[in-house]
Amino acid sequence: MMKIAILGIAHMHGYSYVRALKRMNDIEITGLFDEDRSRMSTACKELGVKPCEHPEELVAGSDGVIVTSENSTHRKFVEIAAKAGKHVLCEKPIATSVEDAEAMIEICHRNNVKLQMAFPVRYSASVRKAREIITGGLLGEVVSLVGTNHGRMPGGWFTDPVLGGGGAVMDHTVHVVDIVRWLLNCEFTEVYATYGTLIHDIPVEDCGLEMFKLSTGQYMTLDCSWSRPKAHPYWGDVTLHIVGTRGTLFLDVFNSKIEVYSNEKGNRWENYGDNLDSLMIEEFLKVLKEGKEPFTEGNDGLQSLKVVMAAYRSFREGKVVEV
Amino acid sequence: MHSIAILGAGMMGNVHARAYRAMGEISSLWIVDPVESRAKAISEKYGANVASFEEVLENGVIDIVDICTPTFTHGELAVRALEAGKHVFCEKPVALKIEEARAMDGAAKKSGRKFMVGHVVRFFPQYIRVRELAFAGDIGEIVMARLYRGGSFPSHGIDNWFADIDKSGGVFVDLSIHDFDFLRKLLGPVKTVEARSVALSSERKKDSFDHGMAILRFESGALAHVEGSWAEPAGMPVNFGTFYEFVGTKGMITNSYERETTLRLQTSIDGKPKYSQENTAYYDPYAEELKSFILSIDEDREVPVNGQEAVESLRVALAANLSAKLHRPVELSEVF
Repeated sequence: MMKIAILGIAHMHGYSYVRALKRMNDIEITGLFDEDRSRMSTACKELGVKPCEHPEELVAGSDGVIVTSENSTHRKFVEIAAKAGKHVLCEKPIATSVEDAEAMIEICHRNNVKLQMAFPVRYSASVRKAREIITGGLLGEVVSLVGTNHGRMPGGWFTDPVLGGGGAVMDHTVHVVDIVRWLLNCEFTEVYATYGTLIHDIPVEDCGLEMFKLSTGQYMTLDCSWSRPKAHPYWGDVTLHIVGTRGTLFLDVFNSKIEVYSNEKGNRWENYGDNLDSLMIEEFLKVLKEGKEPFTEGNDGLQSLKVVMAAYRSFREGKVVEV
Repeated sequence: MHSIAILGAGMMGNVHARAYRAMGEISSLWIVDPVESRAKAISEKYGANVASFEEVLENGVIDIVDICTPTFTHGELAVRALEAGKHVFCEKPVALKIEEARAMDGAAKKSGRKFMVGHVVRFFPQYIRVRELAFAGDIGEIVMARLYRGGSFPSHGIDNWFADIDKSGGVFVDLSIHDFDFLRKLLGPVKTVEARSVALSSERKKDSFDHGMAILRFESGALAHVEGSWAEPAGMPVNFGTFYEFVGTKGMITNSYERETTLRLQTSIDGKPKYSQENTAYYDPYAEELKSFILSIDEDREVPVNGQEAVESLRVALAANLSAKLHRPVELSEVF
């Protein structure tokens, strides 16, 4: 029996992770802590999980910890887990500053604790297949990449510059950066970004476009906008157009969906593909049982956060900057 | 009734000849091409007279010259035709350099003849709808756009001229200029362009730009991403496609060539498998474009895409080329 604690339920992904855990055998969710008592109580009722007043006590009685608090408070909760010697799965982005991210990796390392990053997209079978296609030489030499991670404007703390650490650029840069780092075995070396608050009346940016240079030589663009309207039948996308000298590949990670037209509930697209959150949680359980290095780890979180920080710096300075 | 001389018997020359013939308002059609066999083919297919450019200029009956030649030849042909008193329709891109495009526009103004440039995307119905919907306010104010246009490399060009960036301008100038033009018309002037482009090495090519990505920021604050591609392998069942997405303050409009198929054919005759997908219609955007030009002459009014507009769209494409060359964002004001 694996015992898992949940620290922070600010991110809606936390709900998905708990539901994934509940579908698995030999798992006990020891409890949920959130500094926002009403948010904690709502989540506990909805998920059927025990609320806890003291995160340290909760962690002490658990084998592993999942952190899905606001971006800016990831560090605090990861530190609680690390000090107690418990492996931890942390929501993305890893933190809202490089200093926090480095401190998190360091404290986990010092306490011999594995830090897994919640980059579920990398667990997609299509992403894995894309890597096989690339390494198998079917595209020839990869020469450029065009990515998107669109979404709806999430509202709430996501639009709070302190709690979220930014807007769409902070929220939607890291997934695609992470899969490209893995697909091409590269790092991001240069960034140009332009963004703005164009659609919604919020204090952070909702639309952004980025141009990257990769350590393997290619250029890549990314659209990280919260630009899916409420009327859109689906939440958004993660896509990557990979152009090679011998061919091209279009990856559309969440495109396994059916169209639903309901007189009662309106129109929506429903995904029937592999549950990537479940695949990622299964990896976390392996980390807990076998002490293996996580497939997506703290350093992956740090590297993608550095790209985000460089994007903000690029816009302030109006030029291409180094990561 | 007009007498029209088409310069260039390549792909666009054929498209235009067919469109003119379908109109039925043409008294005579002429074709000019240095390659005799190409001129002859069009002559036979569409009932055109073969002539030299000099003969066209001297022939007082011919009142319209339609330039369908490779881009690097546009400037001289247009200026000479305008000076000879012809109305001129010129395929896009208007030219490779701003000075040359301005000289063409200047020659048109001086001659008092009509001069139109073939930014045909403005006449494609799925793009006309976008402008209608934008005008109607269905999705609020458009603040962001993504456009893709691409396929396999255009190897049909005579002497492989598309492969030479000094002759075609590369993928931004030859292909993405359609999207730059459409966006400019929809969102107003461009302020900054950040672009990169790569050549897909091939023995048949000089250093071309075959795949390009451009990030545009407009003076209004709107953002756009434009991808142009000649990077698809040759011989694919579907060798060209476009995609767009326009995001407004109250919704979005999107369309992809992958979903606008009215016919899908799979067949195998004598062991030769064939796949095709088509979106067939009677409406021909090229014919509509040419009709609008002829109507502008008949009614003596402004053409839908004049030289000044073509210059502005070329500036955006050249800014993308400059950014891709210098690896830095380029202000449109740097390109003049």
